[in-house]
This record gives sequence, structure tokens and C-alpha cells, in this order.
Amino acid sequence: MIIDTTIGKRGLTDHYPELGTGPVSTEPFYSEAHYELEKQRLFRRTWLSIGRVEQVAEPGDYFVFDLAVADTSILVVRGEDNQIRGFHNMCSHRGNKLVWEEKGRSMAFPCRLHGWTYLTDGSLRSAPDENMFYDLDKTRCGLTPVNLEVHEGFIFINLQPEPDETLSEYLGEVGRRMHGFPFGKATVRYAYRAELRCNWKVSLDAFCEGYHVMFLHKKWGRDTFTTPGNPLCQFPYAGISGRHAVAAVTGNPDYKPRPAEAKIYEWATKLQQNNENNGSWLPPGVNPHDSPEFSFELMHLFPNYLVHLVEGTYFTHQFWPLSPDRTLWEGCTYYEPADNAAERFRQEHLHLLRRESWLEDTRAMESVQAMLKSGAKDEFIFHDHEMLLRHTYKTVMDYVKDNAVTS
Amino acid sequence: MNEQTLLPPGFEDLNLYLDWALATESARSRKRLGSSMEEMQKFYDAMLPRVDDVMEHLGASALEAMQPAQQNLFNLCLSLSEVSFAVEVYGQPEVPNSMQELGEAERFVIVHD
Ligand code: FES
Ligand SMILES: [Fe+2]
Repeated sequence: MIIDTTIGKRGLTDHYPELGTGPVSTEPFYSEAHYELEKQRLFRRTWLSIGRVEQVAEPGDYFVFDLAVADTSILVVRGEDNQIRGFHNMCSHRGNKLVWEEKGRSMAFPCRLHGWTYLTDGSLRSAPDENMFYDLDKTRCGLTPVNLEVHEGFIFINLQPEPDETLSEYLGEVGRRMHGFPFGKATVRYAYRAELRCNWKVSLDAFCEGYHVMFLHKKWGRDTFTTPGNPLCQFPYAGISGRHAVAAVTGNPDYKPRPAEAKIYEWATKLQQNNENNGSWLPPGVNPHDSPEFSFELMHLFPNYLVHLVEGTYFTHQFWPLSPDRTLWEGCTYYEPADNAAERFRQEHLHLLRRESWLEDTRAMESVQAMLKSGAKDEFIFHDHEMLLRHTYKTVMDYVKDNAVTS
Repeated sequence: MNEQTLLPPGFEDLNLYLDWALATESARSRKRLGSSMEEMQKFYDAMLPRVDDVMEHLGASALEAMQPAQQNLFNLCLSLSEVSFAVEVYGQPEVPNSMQELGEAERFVIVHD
């Protein structure tokens, strides 16, 4: 599914004639009507990643995920039988939001309002004053389940009554491409979050192209992600498969660390343990030509999740629509637990590096959104290597027009 | 506790900078945004040449095994990483062109603290 590009030579998008090469409308990036269609026809139909299995490692472990885009809240819990299940977080009696905590461990979930109590498999265990109800059939009063499947340790849900396709059918080739990356080893998570004043696609798009790196991130990003041969951070390779896409981002092997980070990297390397069994984390299909100029592979799992495979770590972005021009963004970095202080020091510096660039990215997203409604421009113009943006646009429109293709 | 025990023996010179020995990233970031470049430059100039000694002393220790004084010393290291961006890259406390420059730094939530 990968197309090797020639830096500086246009032609990547031409491999996918269905995407076209013309400008696209800005309207879906702010319109209330379009947003309603996305809510109904897109987010209620696709598989959505909402967490990792490490968050529910033991029976009784649970977390709650509020899903504004579907007007619901989801309870994910590992049952006594070790199975992970998802439910609408809503009491069967009179609709109260059942669990208010963000996460925890419990074998029973009592409703705060009148004490109906549910077990980890969603069944109703007890209802106070039970004999005062008329024909109460407790077996029919369990929590409402949602479809939940796990891929490579990522927990996905699907809000269709019966999903059109399984998670692995949905993720297709890009899902298979993740296989072999040791996600389960990187159990330590550093997360940043912001409620951004922009459409979720403005936010997603900002992380799906390298064209801005030389400019928006000129203070430091360009030294890291561009080389003399690729000064505008074009993708060395990229590809589309169904609704999902991948792209490789260049890293500069000649980057000269600044004084503080040079010390940090030096000590982390010097004190590194288990040196011998630290094989590559990257599956063979990722950076297939073993280029020394490889930094990471970006994977877009449609609609709203980006997973970035890096040697020895991975990071993610997720974009949850709150309204046509509000998005809950979360950017996370995942590491193996540091076994000494020097490694912890290195990890701190690495996620601060990401934080600094995400601070630049997020302001720019809001600055784009601030102008959209003016209507002064009704089209976006896409560069050849802004192909992932074009692909997202087309896939969104396919769902909204109700002719979404399967992989 | 007297002043000498706040950092491990041999690092008394860094006692001047104990207000940078902050346990969370949010606190370190807030401190950076509330400091002048002169203050950060002084801390940076004092701390950078001591990284070798600090790492020699505690670089190989497990995080859970650190004594409070060592933890303070290590938090100074993490603050060095934090200020290095202001001192080495931007020449100002805030990330240029970020919501920090609008006085909205708190909108960017550090979830892991
Ligand atoms: S609404 Fe939950 S017990 Fe009444
Ligand atoms: Fe960026």
C-alpha cells in the first residue's frame, strides 16, 4: 500500500485518482448542518478508539469515556470473567448517568439516585424496594451494551446496533500494518489535552502534513524533521488503503543536539540497561528501506485517531468533536517504564519537545478556524503532500452522503 | 530539616535554586512562564555544568528508590529540560505563537500530573 515518493517531484496524489486534485469546500469545516450529518452518519457508524487495554488491566478496572459527538457516555469495564465490555453509562431505572468517576476499580456499580446496582457484566444485581415495582424483570434491566473490540491493545467501540463490519475488516490493511509493534510494552503515558476552538478536521489536518514544519516550527522543528535533501518535510513514502492512510516523516540524522539535551541523551545512553535485547520496535513494513532519515510513520485510523510509530516509543493524537467549531484534542506519548533516573530524564525531554511543537500547532488551528466563517474564501487548496487531508475530506463526504465504501 | 539536607551532600551550591525543585511538569512549566529570562539564564548556567555530577550520583538509581534530597536534585534536572527551550531556543519564556502568548497557558492541560 506504500508509494515511495521522489522529494520535490509532484505525483503522489496521482496514484489515487478518486481523490481528484482540485480545491475542496471549506463549508464542512464550520457548518452546523454538516456537523449534524457527521454526528448521525459518520461517528455513529465507524469504529472509534477510546482507550488501551492497560487502562483496564485487572477484573473490575473501569474507565468512563464521555462521547459528546454521540450524546452519550461510555463505561468500559473488565469483567470478573476477564472480558472487556462497553456499555452506555446510563441507569435502566430513570436514566441517571451511572458512573461519575473517570476511572477506578469496582465489582459493582450502584446508581447514586435510587441505588440500582449493576455488576461488571452489565447485569442488574439489585433494585431497592423491588417488590414495589410492577412486573419488574431484572434480567431485562441490564446496562445497554455497545459493540467493543480490541486491536493491538487499542479498545474500539461502535455505536451501530449491529456493526456493518468487524473492527479488523474496518481497519483493513493499515490495521495489519500495526502488527508487530510492541504497543503493550509502552505502558507509561504522558498526555496533554485542550479544548480547541476549531473543527475536529482542522485539528486533524494540522497533524497530517509536513508542509508547515519549516515555517510554523522554524525555531527548532525544522532542524529535527527536515534535511538538505528534503527541506520542506515532504513524505518519503505515503499510502492510502480504504478509509485509512499512512505517511512517513523525515528525521534529520545530522541533527546536532543543543547543550542541555546533548547531556540528557549522553547519560541516558551511558546508563541504558538491557542494551542487548533492545531490538527494533518497527515492524518490517515500516521504514521498509531502512532509511537513516526516518523519524516516524504516521497512521491515520479514520475518523479521528493518529498513531505514530517511532523507534522505541509511540505517540498519538485524538480529536473529539464537541461542536462545529470546538474539539477536545488529546496528544499522548507512550514509553516503556524508565528503569533509572537518566532514562526518565530523557523521556521528560522527549515529551517536552512534542509539547512545545503542539503548543505551536494548536494556536495555528484556532487561527485557521477564526477566519473560516468569514466566507472570504470558500475553498482550501491542497499541495500534493497534503494528500491525507484530501483523503480525509473525501472519506468524510462519502459517509455524509451515505455512500461510504468499505475497505 | 536544615538547609544542608534539602539536596544531597556535595550539591549545596544548587541550594540557591531550590525553588526550581518542583515535582510536577505543570509546576515547572508555570515557574518557567512566571520567570524572567535573567532568572532562567542563571539557573541554566548553574545547572548545566552539574548534570554530569548529578547523573553520576543518581542517574542509575530506580525512581522509587530516591531519597527526598535526591528527588529534589532530580527535579532540578527536569526543570533544566523545561528552561532549556526558553534559554536555548526562544529567548523568551513562552513558546512563540502559542496560546501561552495570549495568557491562556492553562488551557493546555498537562493530564499526567
Ligand atoms: S435512576 Fe438509577 S436508580 Fe433510579
Ligand atoms: Fe506541527
